[in-house]
Amino acid sequence: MIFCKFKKTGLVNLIHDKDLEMVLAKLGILKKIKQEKIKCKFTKSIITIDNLHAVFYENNDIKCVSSSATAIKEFSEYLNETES
Amino acid sequence: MIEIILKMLNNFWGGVGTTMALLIPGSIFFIHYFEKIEKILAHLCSVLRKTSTFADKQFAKRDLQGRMNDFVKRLDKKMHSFVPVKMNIKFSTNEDLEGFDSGGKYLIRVKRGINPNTNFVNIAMFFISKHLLLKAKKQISPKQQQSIDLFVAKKLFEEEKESVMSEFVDSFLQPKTDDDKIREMFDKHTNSDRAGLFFPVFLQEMVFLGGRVFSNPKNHRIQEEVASLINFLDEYSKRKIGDDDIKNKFDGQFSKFALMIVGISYKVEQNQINRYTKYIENLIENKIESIYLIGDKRNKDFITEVGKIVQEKNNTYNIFKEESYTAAINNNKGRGKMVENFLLVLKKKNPDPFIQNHE
Repeated sequence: MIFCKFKKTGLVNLIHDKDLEMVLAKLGILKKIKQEKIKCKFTKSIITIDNLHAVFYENNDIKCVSSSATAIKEFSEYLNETES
Repeated sequence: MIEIILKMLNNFWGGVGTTMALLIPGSIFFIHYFEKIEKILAHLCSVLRKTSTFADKQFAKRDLQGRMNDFVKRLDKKMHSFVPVKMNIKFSTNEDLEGFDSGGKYLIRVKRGINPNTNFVNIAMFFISKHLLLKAKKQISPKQQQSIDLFVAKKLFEEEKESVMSEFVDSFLQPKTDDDKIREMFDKHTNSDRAGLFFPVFLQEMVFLGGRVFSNPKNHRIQEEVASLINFLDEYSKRKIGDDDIKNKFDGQFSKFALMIVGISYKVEQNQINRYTKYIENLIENKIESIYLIGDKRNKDFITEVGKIVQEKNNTYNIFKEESYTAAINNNKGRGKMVENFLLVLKKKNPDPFIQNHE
């Protein structure tokens, strides 16, 4: 087959470090992160600019995931359990 | 005057013809080899990524897309009814966050200043968990899903970017296989893949299973059957050369298939063909829906002849797939030996998509 056979597209939204603070400000959580008021959804550790791995929206609230091995592991398990 | 106009038209169409002659094959080349082109672009961007944000973004995007989409194209060749999903990476800025609060959207960070392999592994694992093989993972338990994701990711990294393996092992494989069940399943997937059974048989059957509609979806009976299927293929993969008595039929309630070995070099003789076709007809009478004929590549003509005869005699079954591949089989001392195999799959044309599976 010459032409692409892809039947679906899986969009992956990334934030580059250069845009991170602007994106977090737009989402309304930059101040809270700098004040160390946000915790990781999975490990409950304090989220900082340095250890933030991912952000997503759930139950009318923005959730954050830290970059620890445990959090990333539990995040991927959470992805398996939620429907795409 | 007319001659001048005709000459101009001739030159114009000649020019157009030349352009089209270059444009059409160029476009075909571009589309067909797009993933390879992306990988080259990633290499070019890697030179400038430390000093340019644009190059850094392009490096992450092209490196991941090129490698993942190339891998997915190869998966599509290994399995039928598989939905090949194309990875499309988009860098979000504060100006394009519309729809983020409607749910289902995830923003993954690309961290600068760390090993780029870490970003690669994290994003690849996200894509595999969230977008890839969803049909195959539809009916199974979270741990069964994770074992599949881990194994598919390992294959991706082995084939596309071996340099990330240590990050994958540290961040995902080791933590997840601390769970005994996941580790056990992962080991069994490794064994069945060595025997050439993971993608063309196990995942193929998972894709078929995911295409069915269950009256009671995701219940434990389906998951128990999948666990039995994993064990069955693991046992089958450990068979030794000449061991044709191993249990070769998996007669589950939801996944009905059989593996038949054509183990000895046969000439295409009618009495031997009849032996196999009669056995297959018996399987068909017992409502087996997929029959995988596996043998040494030297038996390809024999296996093909058997498949054609069954297809002619049973208009409800057809030859679904034929493929040559390399696999490992144990010799009498239990040591692995690489062999060239041939696989032919006979499949029921219209299996009942709806299955009643009350508790």
